[in-house]
Amino acid sequence: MKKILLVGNPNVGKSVIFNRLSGARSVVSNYPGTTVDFTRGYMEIHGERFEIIDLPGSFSLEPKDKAEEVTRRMLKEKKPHAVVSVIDATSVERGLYLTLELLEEGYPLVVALNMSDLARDKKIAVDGQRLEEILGVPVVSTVATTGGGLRELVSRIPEARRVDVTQVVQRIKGKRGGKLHTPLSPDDRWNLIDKISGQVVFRGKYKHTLKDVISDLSVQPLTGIPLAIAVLYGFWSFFSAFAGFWTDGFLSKLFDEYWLPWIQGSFPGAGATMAASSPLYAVLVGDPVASSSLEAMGVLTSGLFVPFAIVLPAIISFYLVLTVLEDTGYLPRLAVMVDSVFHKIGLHGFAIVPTILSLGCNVPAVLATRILETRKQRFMVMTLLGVFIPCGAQIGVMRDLIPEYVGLIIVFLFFGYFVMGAILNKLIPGTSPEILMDVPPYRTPNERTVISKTWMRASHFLVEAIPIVLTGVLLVNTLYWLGVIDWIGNIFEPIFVTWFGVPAETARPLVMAFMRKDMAVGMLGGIPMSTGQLITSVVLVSLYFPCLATFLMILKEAGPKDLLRSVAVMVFSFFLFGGLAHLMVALGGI
Amino acid sequence: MSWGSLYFGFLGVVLLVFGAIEFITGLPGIREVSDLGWLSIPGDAWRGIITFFSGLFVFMGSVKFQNIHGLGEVVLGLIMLWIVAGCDIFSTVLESIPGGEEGWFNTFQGFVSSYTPPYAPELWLFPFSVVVIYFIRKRGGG
Ligand SMILES: Nc1nc2c(ncn2[C@@H]2O[C@H](COP(=O)(O)OP(=O)(O)O)[C@@H](O)[C@H]2O)c(=O)[nH]1
Ligand SMILES: [Mg+2]
Repeated sequence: MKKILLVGNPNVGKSVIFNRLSGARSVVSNYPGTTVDFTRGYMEIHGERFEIIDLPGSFSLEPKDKAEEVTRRMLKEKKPHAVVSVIDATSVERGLYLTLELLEEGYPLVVALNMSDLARDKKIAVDGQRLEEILGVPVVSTVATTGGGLRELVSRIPEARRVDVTQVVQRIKGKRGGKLHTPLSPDDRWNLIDKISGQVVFRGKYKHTLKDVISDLSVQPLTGIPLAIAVLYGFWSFFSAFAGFWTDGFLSKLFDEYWLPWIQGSFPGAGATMAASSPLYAVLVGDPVASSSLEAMGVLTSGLFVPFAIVLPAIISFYLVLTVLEDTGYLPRLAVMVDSVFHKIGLHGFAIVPTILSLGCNVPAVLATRILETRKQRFMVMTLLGVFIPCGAQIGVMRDLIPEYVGLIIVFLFFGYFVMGAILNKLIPGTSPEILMDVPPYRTPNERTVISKTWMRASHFLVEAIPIVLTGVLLVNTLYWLGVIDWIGNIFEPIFVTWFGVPAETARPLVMAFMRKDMAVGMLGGIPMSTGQLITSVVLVSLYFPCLATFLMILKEAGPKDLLRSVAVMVFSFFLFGGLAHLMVALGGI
Repeated sequence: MSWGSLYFGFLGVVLLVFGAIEFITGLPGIREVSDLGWLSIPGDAWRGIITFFSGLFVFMGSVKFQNIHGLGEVVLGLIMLWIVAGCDIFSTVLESIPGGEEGWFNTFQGFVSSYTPPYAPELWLFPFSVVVIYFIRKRGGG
């Protein structure tokens, strides 16, 4: 396998770059016969796998300590396809020394000018383009800690090349300088570096703009996290105001006062109750006396009401805000900030997008996992969302039932998300390559683009999801009508009572949750039980299988095999974390 | 000490105090909405946190206001305030239009009365924050 070596002075950010390039899996090895460690991992460039090695920090190739000796030996032994020379942009000269040595020895080189953010803070401008002209190898400015520039770095690794240092000397000193012999003496080398830096490094020149400052503040955790809370709060406020306006203000009225009574009255086969009606009526219209389209449960009542009156306005407002966040450049910054947390479970910062979406509805969230690179990552996120993230409807009902505990329950569920994520990351084969995030500058979004993007996303969702929702309602209605749901409820009753400590009557709502989680949480409200039992049951409904629509969505996106695996994980998490919730409630004495 | 520094230092502290009050009244078990006729405290802990930090950033920035970093912190804090206030305005507007139980659209009186006080602290403080635009312009940086 071709090898890429990272070389540079100590503390220039080699390891941070290495971690970002190699993703989650890397091994620390010891160089035989020494106490010096180095780290190895893998990365992909255009589908080709490379081994990437983070060498010990060195100042020079004339070894003065064990670490430098190991670096030198490994450079010789590994016959690298490319060497990335990492230079600290705040002290270019020191890094150039090693870089020149590497060029003299004929390694194919790419230069990363790392810590360019710090250079900017110190008002040091480094002209990367000029440096590239002088050295004759690719030079890329990077900020390893936020991932900035790494995508470009990777794309230019294939351009790594060997150069003749006498040419570098000539470019700098003119023909006259050509008489220097390689290898250069240290004095000649420092002389050359002085000349180069005179053309490349400008101190006191960079002027910070307000945009730069705000951009930095929004990724640093201390200021970035409160900002993220504010943005998410704004997201939800806008979302509920917009969706409430259409759903509660107009569409519910339209459905409940006009459509529902009309179809209940004019569809043939109505009886006094659902059971007394004809099968076709029960499945298509549902309850003949229901007063709201939500409760009627028929394909033509709830089946149309849910996607068009509830989901559609929610989806439009959701995508509207999401698109604005994306186009202003905030979303990549949020992803960068949470990247290190998601990294621990083999995902990366962009997993925040489906996670946030899922707090609204799992169905678009499953769609959004397409943002992730590998099948493993997509599978992990779909499964974790299905189990641990309560959807908007559920959170709403939770707030009605046990407002004091909603915060706690959500914290518990997020805890489960990460624990189970770590477990899945260990268990599932497959790679988690890094997606290198480019953080674009903040900008004002263009309204036309926002509107057309929102429209594309929303209509795409409608086309994909509505048939799924309708099929779901049809299927569950049929099962319900055949008595299958009651039957399953009875089978699981004893397990619920002993393992989770909840009353026997909760079994049926839980099975019901398969179709509509919010409704199940609502049904729990009618069963007499202690607060502790109520908390456990609410947690159970969240942990329980996602609703049928989500299921079908996973089936469509990931295929039947992954759906089955996902179900296995769901059952396991259900018992594990449900039991844990029971235990915590018991210990907490609630 | 410049005028900007004093002004935003003061605004920051006011935001911070209201943020703390909203946070405390929004804690589980306390959760209450207080209405003083012209001012209402929504009693929402998340909102309280946001307003608190908004005030904190504005205050921290005001201390080194001459410096672009200081201005940046002030602006960041105010962006957070604008998010909260903007959402308030947006939802007030949307809630003023539909008629609820009565009919498709709100009556004229109903529509107008949606816009009368009490307002939340963020809404009252919002006009005072707009001053920052003057300072951004003055510095000539975008
Ligand atoms: N501000 C900033 N800090 C960085 C950057 N890259 C690395 N660092 C920090 O510099 C320190 C040294 O990084 P490390 O990767 O361990 O350096 P190594 O010795 O070259 O492997 C760490 O604290 C990093 O967080 C960067 O681009 N910008
Ligand atoms: Mg290191």
